[in-house]
Amino acid sequence: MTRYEKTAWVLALGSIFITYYLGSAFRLITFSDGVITAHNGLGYVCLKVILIMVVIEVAAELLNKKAAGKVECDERDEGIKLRASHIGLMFLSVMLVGGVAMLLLTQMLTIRALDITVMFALMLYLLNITWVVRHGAEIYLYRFGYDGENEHY
Amino acid sequence: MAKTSITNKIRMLRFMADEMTQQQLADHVGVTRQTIMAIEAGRYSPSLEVAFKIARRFDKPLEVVFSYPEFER
Repeated sequence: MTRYEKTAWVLALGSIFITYYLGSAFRLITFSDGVITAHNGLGYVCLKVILIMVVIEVAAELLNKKAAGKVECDERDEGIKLRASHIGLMFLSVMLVGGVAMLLLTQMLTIRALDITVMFALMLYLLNITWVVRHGAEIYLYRFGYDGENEHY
Repeated sequence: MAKTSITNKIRMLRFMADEMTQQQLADHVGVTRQTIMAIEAGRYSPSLEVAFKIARRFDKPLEVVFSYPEFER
């Protein structure tokens, strides 16, 4: 297992943990009279999530530190990172468009207003799911799927 | 598991070159051992640069080390 694959594992597991943690905080959201609001605790949870994300990224970077005289990252690692980022970006754009469409649709039906903290938490949640998909794709490509064909430009 | 259509004789050439290890070849070429492993198993097509470096390490022309069966006569 290369260092980059280890990093992908750390980031994927970290993202799954954060997504679960943030998802469990959605019980703080309340819905009444067409207005979605959040308990004050949700903003605090979002701040904690951002802090945890930074800590996990730093831990992954430390793990990624180059050992003297050894090749740690080559064209295959770069190719896998690029393809996984592409998959993550595609997923994020589909989810964003889907999310906005859902908001529009629900606004037409019942919801009239959305608290900004709830919006922020939802965006953070979406970002974390994207991270899970991206790093999951990295692990999959490392383990099974990356042949490098049509990737060298 | 995806297989590329490019085949190679790296394993045999390593064996003939005093049983060179994958790590030794990787260090010479400037890639990781995992990449050499993937190339050998036919799971990864290297860039031209890496392919030339591998061929040069064994003092062989590129087409001896790598081949693309579809176009062979």
